[in-house]
Amino acid sequence: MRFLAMKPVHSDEQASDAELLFAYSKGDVRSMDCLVGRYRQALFSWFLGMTGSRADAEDLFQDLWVRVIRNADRFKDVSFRAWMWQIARNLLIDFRRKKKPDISLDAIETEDDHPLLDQLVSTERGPAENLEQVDLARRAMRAVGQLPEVQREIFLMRVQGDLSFNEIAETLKIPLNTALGRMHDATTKLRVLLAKEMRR
Amino acid sequence: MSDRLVTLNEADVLRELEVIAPQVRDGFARAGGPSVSVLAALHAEAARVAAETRKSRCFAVFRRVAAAAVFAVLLTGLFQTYLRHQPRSHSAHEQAVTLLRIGSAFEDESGAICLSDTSELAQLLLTMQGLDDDSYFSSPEEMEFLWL
Repeated sequence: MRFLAMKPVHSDEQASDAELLFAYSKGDVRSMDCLVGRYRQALFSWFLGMTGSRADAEDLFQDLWVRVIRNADRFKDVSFRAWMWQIARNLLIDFRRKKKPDISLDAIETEDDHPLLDQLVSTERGPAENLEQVDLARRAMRAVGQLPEVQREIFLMRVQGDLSFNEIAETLKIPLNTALGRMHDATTKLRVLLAKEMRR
Repeated sequence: MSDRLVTLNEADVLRELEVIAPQVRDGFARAGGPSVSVLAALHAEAARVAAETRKSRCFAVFRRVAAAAVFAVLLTGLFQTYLRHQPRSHSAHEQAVTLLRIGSAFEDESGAICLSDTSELAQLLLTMQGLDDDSYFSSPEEMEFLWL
């Protein structure tokens, strides 16, 4: 088994995900902090993009890492990223089952005072902040929110999670060509939506 | 809908993405990450689980040692019981004593089995063989044979 050959490592930016997880399973808490930090933005953005709510994204993000922490010693010889994204997706599916689907970013189109978009403005600090860029980012997020869920899911996995198309296909259990097709559709639609947003 | 027959080139799809992706990334970056309280809660949970794992691992070692000790005690007990129930094996000395006793046993007038002194038995055996206790050899022929 690969883990038997592994040596415990300290929270090192150079260490692989599996090494960090192994180190954590041996009691090194800093390794888990490092792992959380490594995927913090990608996973949180994905949850945020999929739920449209900061509170829900935080809950899901926390649930995901609690699962990873509690099952660290059960992690077997597979890709950590694939394992983690699989958990993330399962959590989102459970979340969707429990909650009404009207909390997604799709709702942003008609709600200018959506908390997520307010968040974009509220995080800006200092007079030197380029308002034009903030506006552009806001429009881009609004456009992403209007994508169908299956396209948005793949789009954000690629753009935020930096997953390869093979990893996306594996995580979503779909053929590679389907993943590519959905991404192509998402990009085409997003371009139209962004153009529409710019004309506003 | 998306399950198309046309095979898409990954490089083309990535090229399409290059234009839009930076704007989206920028948007999500501005939205920020999870709050500090969430990260602190995760750190606390990680520390708690690690401590629990360490404790259970120590306890597991102790349990193994205790189980091994109990097993060893049981095994020793079983071995001792086995030995106790085995028929006694006689040492060479004990066997010699028994044989001597058998040889020195005789019946008295009443028919009771008596044990004679072993020196008497030895004397009797020598006499039966025509040997003498003092001179060892009783017949001159035998002596002569040996002198030669």
